[in-house]
Amino acid sequence: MEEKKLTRRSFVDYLLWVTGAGVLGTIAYPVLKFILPPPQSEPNNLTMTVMEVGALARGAFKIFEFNRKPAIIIRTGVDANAPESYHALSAVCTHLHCTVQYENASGQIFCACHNGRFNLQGQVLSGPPPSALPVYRVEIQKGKIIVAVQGA
Amino acid sequence: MRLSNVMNVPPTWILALTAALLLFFGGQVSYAADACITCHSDFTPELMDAFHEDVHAANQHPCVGCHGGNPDAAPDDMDAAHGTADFAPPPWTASESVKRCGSCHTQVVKKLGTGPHRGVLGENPDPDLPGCTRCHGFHPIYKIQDVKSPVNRTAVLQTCSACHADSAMMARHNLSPKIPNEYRNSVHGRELLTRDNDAAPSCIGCHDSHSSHNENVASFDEACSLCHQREAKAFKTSKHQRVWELTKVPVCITCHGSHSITSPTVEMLGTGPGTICSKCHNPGDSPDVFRSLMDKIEKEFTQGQAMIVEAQRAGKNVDAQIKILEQVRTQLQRARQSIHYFDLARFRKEVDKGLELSSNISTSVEQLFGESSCITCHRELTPDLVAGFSDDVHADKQISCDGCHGGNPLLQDEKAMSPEEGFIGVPKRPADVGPFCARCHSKPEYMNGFVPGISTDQLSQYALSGHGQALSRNPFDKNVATCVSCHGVHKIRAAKDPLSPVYAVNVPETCNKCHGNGDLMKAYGIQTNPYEDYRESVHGKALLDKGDVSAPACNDCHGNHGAKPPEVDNIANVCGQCHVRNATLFKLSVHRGIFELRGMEQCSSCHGHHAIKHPTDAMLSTQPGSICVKCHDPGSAPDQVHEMFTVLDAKSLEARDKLRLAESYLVNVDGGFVQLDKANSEITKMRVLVHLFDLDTLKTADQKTLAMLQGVEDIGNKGIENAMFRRKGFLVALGLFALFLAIVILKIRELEKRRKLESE
Amino acid sequence: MEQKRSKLASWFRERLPIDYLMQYSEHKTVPRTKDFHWYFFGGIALFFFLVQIVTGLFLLLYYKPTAESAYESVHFIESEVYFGWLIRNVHAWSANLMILASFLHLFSNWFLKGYRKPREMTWILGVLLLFLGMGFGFSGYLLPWNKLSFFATKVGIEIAGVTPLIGNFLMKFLQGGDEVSGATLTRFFAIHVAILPGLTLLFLAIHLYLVQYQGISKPIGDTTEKTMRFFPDFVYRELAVWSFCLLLLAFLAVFYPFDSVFIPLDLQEKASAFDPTPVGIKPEWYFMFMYQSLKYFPGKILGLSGKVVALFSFGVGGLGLLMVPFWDRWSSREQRHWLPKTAGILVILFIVVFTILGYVAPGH
Repeated sequence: MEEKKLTRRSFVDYLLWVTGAGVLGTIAYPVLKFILPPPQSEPNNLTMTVMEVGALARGAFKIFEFNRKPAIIIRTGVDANAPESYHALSAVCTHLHCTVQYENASGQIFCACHNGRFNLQGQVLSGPPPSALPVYRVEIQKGKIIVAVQGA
Repeated sequence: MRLSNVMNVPPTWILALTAALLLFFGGQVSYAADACITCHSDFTPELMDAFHEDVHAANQHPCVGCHGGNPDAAPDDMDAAHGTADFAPPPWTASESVKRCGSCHTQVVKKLGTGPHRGVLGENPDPDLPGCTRCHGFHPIYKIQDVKSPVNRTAVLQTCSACHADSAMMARHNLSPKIPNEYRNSVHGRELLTRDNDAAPSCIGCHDSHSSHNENVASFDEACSLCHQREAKAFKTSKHQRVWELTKVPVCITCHGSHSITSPTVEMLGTGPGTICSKCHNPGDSPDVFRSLMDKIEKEFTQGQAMIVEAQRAGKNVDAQIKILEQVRTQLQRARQSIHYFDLARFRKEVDKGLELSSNISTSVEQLFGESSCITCHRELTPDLVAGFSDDVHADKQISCDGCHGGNPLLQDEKAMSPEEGFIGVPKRPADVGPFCARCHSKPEYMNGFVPGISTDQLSQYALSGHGQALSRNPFDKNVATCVSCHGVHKIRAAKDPLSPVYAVNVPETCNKCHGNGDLMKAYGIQTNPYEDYRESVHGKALLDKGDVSAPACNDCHGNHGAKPPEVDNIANVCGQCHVRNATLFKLSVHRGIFELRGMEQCSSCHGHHAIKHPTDAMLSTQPGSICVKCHDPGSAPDQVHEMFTVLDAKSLEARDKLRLAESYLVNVDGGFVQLDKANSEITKMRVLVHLFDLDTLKTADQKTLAMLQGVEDIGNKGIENAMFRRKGFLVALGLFALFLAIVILKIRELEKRRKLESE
Repeated sequence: MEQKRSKLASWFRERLPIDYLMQYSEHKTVPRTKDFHWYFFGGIALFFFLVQIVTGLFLLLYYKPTAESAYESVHFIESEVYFGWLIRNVHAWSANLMILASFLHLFSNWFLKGYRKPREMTWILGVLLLFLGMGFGFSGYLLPWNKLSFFATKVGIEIAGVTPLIGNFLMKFLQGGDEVSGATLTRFFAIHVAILPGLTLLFLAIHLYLVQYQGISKPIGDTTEKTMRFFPDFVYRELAVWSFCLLLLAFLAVFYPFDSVFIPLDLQEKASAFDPTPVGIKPEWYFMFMYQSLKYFPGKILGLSGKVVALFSFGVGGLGLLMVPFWDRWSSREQRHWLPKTAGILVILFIVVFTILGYVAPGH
């Protein structure tokens, strides 16, 4: 029986396999991490989950980020589970791009910068804004409020 | 089985032969046994063929009627047939033909004897003179109504021309050979020959066919008067008839020509060159008057015609006007005919009738265009004014000149402007302009009919305005703006029309027309030059450069008709129409009371009146050049606020740069940018909050904003950390890769050595 | 243990030509000439292509090929997906390096005359593979749907549309409509992900097989008999080279994110069809020489449109490139000649000069 001698050759070969495995591991790790989906499963430019049902009180509003721009969601309805209770629009004022807010007392969306006023359908009621605010679709799924671009 | 066998009829070929024979012979002329015809059918068949169309062909023995001879002679017995005493074979001389034809046509020959061709009846007539056959032809002599006859009205010119256009022949008789041609070019010739007008006379229409009178001048009167009865009648009662009786001139052909008669034109009339009357009349005589009258009515007619064409082209219904035109045309014709009375008064009457008729055309055409008499006159007097009025908003509403100025546009000339008709005219004093317009614009019940709920307080507002007050001090002051100074006059457009001088974008320029004139304004103690300031202001740039009509123009702050600078302590209300938050905060602040006490203007004390620029932090401190230093000492509240904003701005930029850096490393900092936007909004809100002039509120807001910015920076920092972590990770991988590479190279080296050894 | 291993081995042996392959690989050699190091470039190009396939497949897991979502999905990959930034940047860099390596491989074969008999088909397939690679580049460039890709594609298609007779057809086919739009994106995606890979794999397989079958050529007149065993000697060297390439890729991906190096900030934004074409849109560097030289053609040449003449010239050039083994008659006779060498040098000069001019020249 031949003794297995630790020759230079076999040592180099051994190292080769080890470092080779290391290289493969260095490649495999990012790859494996890549193929597992991240917490947010897809880009949110067309739809996004905003909040839980019940997180918005009646008459209240929230500014949220939608497609990297401010958007506003307003709850006017009694039934927190009905999509009709909510209105979601772009919050970028069409005059000079200030962020608008909701005024529960008048039921209007207004812009503090130059007193532009919109109704809940985004239409301009008074003031300098030249055009309406884009309106988004609201859906309720599994207790979550989802906002989507019209037609998406 | 053959038909002939069965039915016992003759065979077909016999039938056919019979038919052929019948046809052959049946087509022949079958005269009653007439020796001439029988013989000459063989002897001169073409002649016989032609004779069919002769007017005499139906006669019993047509040949002997002209030629004589014996028709009962036996055929082939030429001597018997030709042997009579009256036998006259052709060719015939002219006188022979006259004799022969005259044996039946006696009346004609008698007539001939009175005419210029009568020489042919004599013993040795001039060979030039025509007999019957030269004009009527022979074999066949067509009926004169037949188009083929040489003396048919359409052909007779050619027949006469055969001799009368022959220069040599005419020279022999001292006649002009040009006459047929003259006739051909005359109105009669053209009418007859090219227009086939049956009314037009041929040669024999004037010259009797056989007597052909031309020597008796009076006969020409009769000739012309056969058709031109009115003119002839007129002439007979005229002065010219008496002149003619004495001198034998003038008569129809004297003025109109004999053969080269052209349609009479107005150029024939008068005593100028080329006219006919000048043959006898001197310049200045009555023909000139005739001429001018004739010119007048002809011109009226042409103009009326042109107007109708124009109206028709504009799509108007001109049936009524065309009827009138026809009446004018008829009257014109009548006038022309009445010339032959050579009676000026009479002619003038006819012309006047025509003129009156044609004047109706122009008025009625004008009415089609809805023109008032105002416009009819003023189109000539003040053309620009009338041209501009079509753009006027009043024109749109069917309010015309009389709507403002009164009067009656249905009446002509000065009658339209009579005070009885309610004519007001132009306001006399500048102070009258307002009440002038207010006659309608102050009446809600009237104005609502046009625009429901339109404001009708302009005049009352105006009375309060700087302009109105100036006029109340001096009603004759022409330098003060009235309605028309801003709205224009006779081209007034609605305020929402972009071409109106009071359209939002145009307002500054309109006001500047006076308010930019330093000398003018000095007289009223107004020192400012607002337009220049406004132009560079944030409002001016928004309105005039970006076209944002939500930005205020002069009237949005000063009022429309009640234009007056706002009261010192009302300015916040004015600015607050748009800058609501700022105005509300200011009114809650201490500055309000202080400003009131010191008589300082709200808003404009800090921001300026017209040259309102985007506010900067430099305004908000106690450094020289700032605004607060006017009242505040250095080191006081303004400086603290200034410091706040300086820090905030710097932090915002810092945070942004951090985020950008992280992003360039491909780290996700989207949340950071959103947060930054929010923080920047807070900074803007804080700048609005300044107007509360409360340091504590600002401090609280400042803390909040700083915290937000810190959050943003944290995100940025985290991102950069992340990026650095990646690089570290990469270095680890790099180390590993490098190690692997080194081992591989080692391996290669080792292999090489081995190979070398192996090959040795 | 050994028993088990050999049992498993013999199971496969009985079914697949493993013995044959092993024998073949033991005998396969590579000539050890003085230009030996040039032989690696083919492998390098192949390596980068394999990286493209792998990273491309991974990107496919997250990329959305519609105009509404393409840009956002790329941003999503780079910002949300774990190591998405790495995969995407490796893909972008590897594309460029692959084409660079392909050019170097082509020119090394040109000057070493690797195309001479019996390797003409290998050459033709290689040139076609280069064209396919450039097609990959052109189609892939549009997929991120940012302003630069949108307008660069627009310009590129317009140039293609100048082709006489089929120009309009070509434009419509490429654009998927009357202009560059979401339809174009869908098309380019299909081309980039299915059509071109299919064709490339086919040609590549034949190309590689031919190389294996015919062996590596020696330069003309080289009589060295020295050889190197392909397996494992050459393979180890290939491995070293490839791991260096991998290293390079990783380095570039981490330190030089592709977009921030090559695309100005404002052109990185999402494309919008309503924008006017920005100034200074440039194609990818491997098209630059064609794009730039196009500008030097006068508007009209002998009555024909300058652009048509230019395109025609490029067509002739491309054909000439394909046909090098055939017009270089001397090489098939194992003879050197100045013409192909000079032509090669001129072509390299042309490409290099005009590529540089494309970035440096003022105006337009």
